[in-house]
Amino acid sequence: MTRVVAAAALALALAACGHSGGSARPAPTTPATTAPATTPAPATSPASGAHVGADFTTAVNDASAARSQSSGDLGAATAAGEGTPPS
Amino acid sequence: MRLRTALTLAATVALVTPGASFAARGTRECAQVRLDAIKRWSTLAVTRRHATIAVLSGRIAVRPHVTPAHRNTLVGRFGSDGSGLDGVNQSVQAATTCAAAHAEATHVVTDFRVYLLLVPQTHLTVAADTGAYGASRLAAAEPKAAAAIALLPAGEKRTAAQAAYDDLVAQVRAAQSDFGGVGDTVLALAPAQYPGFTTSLDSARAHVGAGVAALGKAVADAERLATLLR
Repeated sequence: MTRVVAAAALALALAACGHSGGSARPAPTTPATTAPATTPAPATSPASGAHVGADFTTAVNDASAARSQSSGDLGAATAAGEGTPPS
Repeated sequence: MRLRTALTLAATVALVTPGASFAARGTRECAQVRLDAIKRWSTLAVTRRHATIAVLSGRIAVRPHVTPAHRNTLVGRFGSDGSGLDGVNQSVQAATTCAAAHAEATHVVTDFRVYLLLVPQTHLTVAADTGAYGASRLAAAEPKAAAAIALLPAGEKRTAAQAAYDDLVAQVRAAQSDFGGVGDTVLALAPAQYPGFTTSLDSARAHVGAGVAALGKAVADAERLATLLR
């Protein structure tokens, strides 16, 4: 993927100089770890026009975890015999 | 340990006159082995209760959504019960008659009710507070979902999203109602209210169970909404 991006960038640079080849300008260096720029997530999705966002997903995950813990605590809320001293 | 206790009991039984219980004989005779057995029971019972309280303390330490007031109440009760149990055991160990030792040892049970009251008290409070937190997270997210639904064009998707939202709101309100007040109610119960407090605990269990069920449905609604509004 990085090679493809680098090649495309080189081609664009050459085209801007009016060359189809050669080495008139050095190709812009692209760090190997840098991902291609992405556009920010839209506030609304193109398909539906609506999007609840990451906050909603986080809230759902929090609620789900709380429900799981609450259920476990409820299961542990059992009474047991106290016993009595020997008589 | 059980074998040793059984042997001690057997020895005790052999020492007393057949057919006459200790209670019937009163304090007139109190074999040392009998007195020792009561003292050992007290020490063991208190030690076990300390261990249980430590487990309860550990549980609330990993439950961040217990309200500060409930947490303070529980932590305070753990401390007071622990020191109180130690005090009772000291009295038992200092007793010189079987009757006195037995009477003091009974307080290990009656004054604290660790297994019948403190354990369910703690877990029910934690369950209710944690569930209430989960419901509040969904309640806070409702406006975002409502706004997103309003942006949907009319159609099946919007209808489905609105239905999921309506049920989400209803389930969140039900969960909040079920969890609400449980902690305050169960923490107000006292050992002296035995056996009456068992009814209150049963009621609290039912409320928390209903709250957990409602919160589960609300989470399912919210997940469906998240899919529809993706």
